[in-house]
Amino acid sequence: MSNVYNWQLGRPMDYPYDAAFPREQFAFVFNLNRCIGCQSCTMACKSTWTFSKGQEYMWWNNVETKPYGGYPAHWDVKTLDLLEKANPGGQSWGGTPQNAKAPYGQFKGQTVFEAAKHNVSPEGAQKALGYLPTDEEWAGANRFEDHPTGAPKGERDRYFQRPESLPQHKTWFFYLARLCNHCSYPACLAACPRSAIYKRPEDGIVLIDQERCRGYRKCMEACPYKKSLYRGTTRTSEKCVACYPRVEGRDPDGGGLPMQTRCMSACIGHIRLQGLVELNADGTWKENRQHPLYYLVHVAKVALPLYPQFGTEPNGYYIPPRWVPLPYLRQMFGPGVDAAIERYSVPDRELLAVLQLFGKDRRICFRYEIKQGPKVFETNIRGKKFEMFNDTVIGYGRDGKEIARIAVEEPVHVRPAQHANSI
Amino acid sequence: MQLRYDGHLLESVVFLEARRLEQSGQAALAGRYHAQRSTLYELADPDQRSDGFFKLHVQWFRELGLEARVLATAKEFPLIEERATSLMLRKALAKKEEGAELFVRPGAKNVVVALRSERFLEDGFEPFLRHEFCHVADMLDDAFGYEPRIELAGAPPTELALLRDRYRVLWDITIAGRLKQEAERAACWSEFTRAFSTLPEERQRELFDRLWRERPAHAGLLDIAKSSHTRAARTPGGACPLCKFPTFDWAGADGLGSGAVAAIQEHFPNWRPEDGCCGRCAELYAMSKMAQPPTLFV
Repeated sequence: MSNVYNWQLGRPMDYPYDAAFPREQFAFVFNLNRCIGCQSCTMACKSTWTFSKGQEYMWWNNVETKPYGGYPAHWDVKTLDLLEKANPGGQSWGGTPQNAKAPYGQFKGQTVFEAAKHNVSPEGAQKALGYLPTDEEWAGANRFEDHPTGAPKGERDRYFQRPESLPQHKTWFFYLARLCNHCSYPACLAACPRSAIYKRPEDGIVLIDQERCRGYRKCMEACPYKKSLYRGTTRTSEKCVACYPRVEGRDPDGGGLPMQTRCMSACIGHIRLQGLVELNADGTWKENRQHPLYYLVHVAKVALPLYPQFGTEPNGYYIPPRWVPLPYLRQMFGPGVDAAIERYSVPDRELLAVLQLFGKDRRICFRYEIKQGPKVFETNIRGKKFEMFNDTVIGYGRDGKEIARIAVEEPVHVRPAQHANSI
Repeated sequence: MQLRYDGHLLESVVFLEARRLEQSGQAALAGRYHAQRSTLYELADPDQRSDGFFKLHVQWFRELGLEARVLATAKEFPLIEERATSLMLRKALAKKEEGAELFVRPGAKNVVVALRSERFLEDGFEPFLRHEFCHVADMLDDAFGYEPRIELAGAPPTELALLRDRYRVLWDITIAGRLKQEAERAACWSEFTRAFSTLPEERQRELFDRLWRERPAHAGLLDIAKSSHTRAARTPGGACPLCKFPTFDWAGADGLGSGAVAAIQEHFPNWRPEDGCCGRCAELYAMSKMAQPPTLFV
C-alpha cells in the first residue's frame, strides 16, 4: 500500500498504487435541485454506448430516486453497511474546514481501501472493501422511482403531520443522476488482477482495456459506486468512457474544441456542467478562480463529492437538494452540506450568474466572466437579504473564444397582438 | 431424458462457485478455472469463443458437482425421468422469475426450470428444486389430471388472475405438505390467509391442515379455489361478462328472452342468465335469433 493524499478527506490515506495525476481531470457538477428524473441523460448514453446485445441491463448513466432507489439496488447502503461493520461507530468527520487541501475538515473513519486491509480471506486481503451485486440487483434499474419517505421511522402506517414543513420536508425524495466518477483513486483500478484498468494521463478518464480484461469482476466488487458492469456476451467488464472522443475534441460538432459528454449535453433540465480541471502535484485542484467548476467546488463550495468517505476521491460533484433532511445529506455528501445548502438557498450574484452556465453549450467551458447589470429584484429569504442583478455571464472554450453568453434574468418575449396565438 | 443448459446460467453459477471456493481457501482450484477460462479469450471467432465457453462451463459444472446435485434431486421423481423428453435449466434474473414449467407438444414433454445463479449457493437449493420438480411430476401424473387452462365463464382477466393465484397457493401447500417441508409451513400459511382472507379463521385452519395432509388432484384444488370465488357483482360501470366492456346498462335474467339466452350459451357455455350482460349484448343476441337467412335474387 502507498500513502497518498486525499483532499476530500483532508488527510493522507492508503491506496494500493502510488499517486499519479493527469494533466487535467475530467470532472462534473450536477445541480440536484434541478433534476426532474426525465432520464434523457440515461437514454442519450444508452443510445450511444450500450445498445448492443449483452448490454440490456447495462446503464452507464442512470437516475435513481433517493432514498430508496438504486442501481444496483441499495448499492450505497450495502457499502456503508460494510464500512460500518469494519469500523463500528468510527465513520465520522472531525477537524475544521480549511483551504483546498481540506475543505470539509478531516475524515476520521476508514475508506474502502483502509477497511479492506482487515478483511482478509485465504486468498489474501481485498484491495478495496466491496461486494458483488446479484443479477436481481442489476435488473431493476428504476425500482422505487418517485417513492418518497412516507412515515416516521418505525411507524409504517402513520403518515407525517405537516409533511411539507420548511426548510426541510418530512415527506421527500430526490433524483440522483449518476455515472462513473472517474475517481482520482479508482477502486476498480486498484482491484483489477489483470491491470486492465487505467487512468488516462491527459484527462484522468478511467477506462477498461477490453483486450486485457478477463472478466474476473473484481472491479465490480471493488467500485463502491458500482459503475463497472459485466457483459455476458463479451465476457468482459465495461464502464462509462466519459465520451472520450468528444472530450478530446474529435466530435465534428465541436469544431475541434472539447465537448461535454452525451449525457451532459442531452440534459433538458440543465442540471449538468462538465469540465476539465488542472491539478497540483499533490492532486489538489490548481487555483483557477474563473473556472466554473473550481468556483462551484472550492470558492462557493456548493458542489460536493458523492460519498467522499469511500475514499476514492470521486470527480463528480453535486449541489445537494435543499428540501432534504440534513442528516441524510451529510451522510451522502459529507460535512460540507450545511454551508452548501445555506449558500445555494440565498445565492450571491456571482453564484447566480455561474449557475446560468449549466447546459447552455455542448462545448466545455474553461473560463467565465461576469458583466455586471442592474439590480432587478430584492427580497428576504428566511431572514436573509437576497438581491438579484441582471448580470451577464460569458463562458469561454479551450481556445479562449466565447461559447456562451447568458443573462441572469430570463428575457421575456411578448408576441405582437396580431400573432398572439401563433409561433 | 436429455439434459440441456442455458450457457449464461452455467457461466454465472460456475463463476460464483469458483469465487466461493477461492474465498474459502481453495484458491488452486479457482485459479485453474480462471486459467482455462482466460485462454478462450484468445479465440477470435465469436461463435467459436462462445462454444468454447459453453463447453468449459459444462465441464466445470460437472467437476464442481453441481450437475450431480440437480440430477440427484430429479431422480427422486421417477415420473420426470420416465415421461419428460428433456430437462432444461435456464437463468432467471429475479426470484419471481424462478420456477418450473412443462411445455407439451406432440411427441415431446420438455421441462424448463428457471433458476437464479445465486440459488445454487444458497442453503435451500435442493428443497427449492424438489418443490419445483414435484410440480412437474404432478403435471406429468395422469392421476393428478392437470389442465393448463383455468377457465371461469364470463370472468374478466383480473378475476382469472385471482383464481390462478389461489390455485397456485393451494398447490404449493399440498406440495410442501407432501415433501414435509416444515420450514415452508409459516410462509405457506401466510400466503394462504392472504389468498383466502374472506374465510373465517376456523375454516382457514381446517382447510389448510387438510391440504397439508392430503393430496387433492387438480380438479379438487380448482374446486376449492373456485368455491371461495365470488362473481363480480353487476355494479354500475362493471365489465360485461360477454364483451368485457364496462357498462351501466345491465340486462338481467328477466330482460332476456329464452332465444337470447340460448344464443349466448351457444358462445359462452358457462354463462348463466343471473350473470347478466350489457344491454348491447342482450340486444345483439336477441337479434341474432330473429335473423333470417338472406334473400337471394337471381
